[in-house]
Amino acid sequence: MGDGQVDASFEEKRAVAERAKLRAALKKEYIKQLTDPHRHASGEGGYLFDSGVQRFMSMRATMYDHFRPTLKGGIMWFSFVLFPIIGYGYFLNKKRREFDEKCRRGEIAYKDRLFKFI
Amino acid sequence: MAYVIGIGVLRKLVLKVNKNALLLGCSRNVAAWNKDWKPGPYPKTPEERAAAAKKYGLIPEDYVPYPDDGDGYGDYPKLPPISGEARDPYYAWDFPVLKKNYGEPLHVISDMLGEDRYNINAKPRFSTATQLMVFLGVMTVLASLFLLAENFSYVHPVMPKQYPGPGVKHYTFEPAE
Repeated sequence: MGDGQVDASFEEKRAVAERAKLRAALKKEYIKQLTDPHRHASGEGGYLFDSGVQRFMSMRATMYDHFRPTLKGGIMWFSFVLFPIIGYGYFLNKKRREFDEKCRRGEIAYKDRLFKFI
Repeated sequence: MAYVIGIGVLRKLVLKVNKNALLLGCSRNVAAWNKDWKPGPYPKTPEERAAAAKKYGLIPEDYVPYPDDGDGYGDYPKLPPISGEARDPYYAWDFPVLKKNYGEPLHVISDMLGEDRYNINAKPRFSTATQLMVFLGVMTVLASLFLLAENFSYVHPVMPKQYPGPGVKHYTFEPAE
């Protein structure tokens, strides 16, 4: 595989050869399953079980198992989720409440009304 | 018709010979349980790392787990992200549509890296920093022009409307002297 390369070190060539060996084993297994005549009769469903895909799906389903609350994670959650929601709600409510109280006291002149130009 | 009868006869014959041969005409339930295929805990010793590399089909040099900082994935490997567009279109993939081989370990964000989705290996013409600076520069110039011109804006020269009302006199018709 990496035999003819003159600029690759021995470790790199060995790693390439080992990767190729693993890949060849998987390829052989795939071809064997693809051309197996008895798979059609077993009624297995038409698709081949792929361990890579299954591990990915199981990883996605069980991500919470590896979660641990940390300081950095907590700061991220506070600053990106909690504080924006609560802060936005608080400041919006404050602004609208002040405007409403001003309206009720009659402090807003007619010429300063909202949506004057519509 | 003859085929169906033949299968029935064959089935009886096979069952007579081997009572366990009940798979004829049955479908096998290939169900994988998450507890068997989920990533294990973060590997700490070299033996655990070697076992995890073997599990995922990688050589021990290639196996790098995500750091265990509370947001990790256990012993799932950190693979180089290669999106569908960047993979060789002429290689004999096992699944040519997905550009994927059988048993290949998937990246943690591989559902995003498909050929119809994000291309993480594309080198953009302008870097993200350049894009941001250009955007901020243009918006700053336009905003400053707008704000400077606010004091010199024109409005229609109109007076307030003179509505009639009780006790309100806007003008009188007196002869000019």
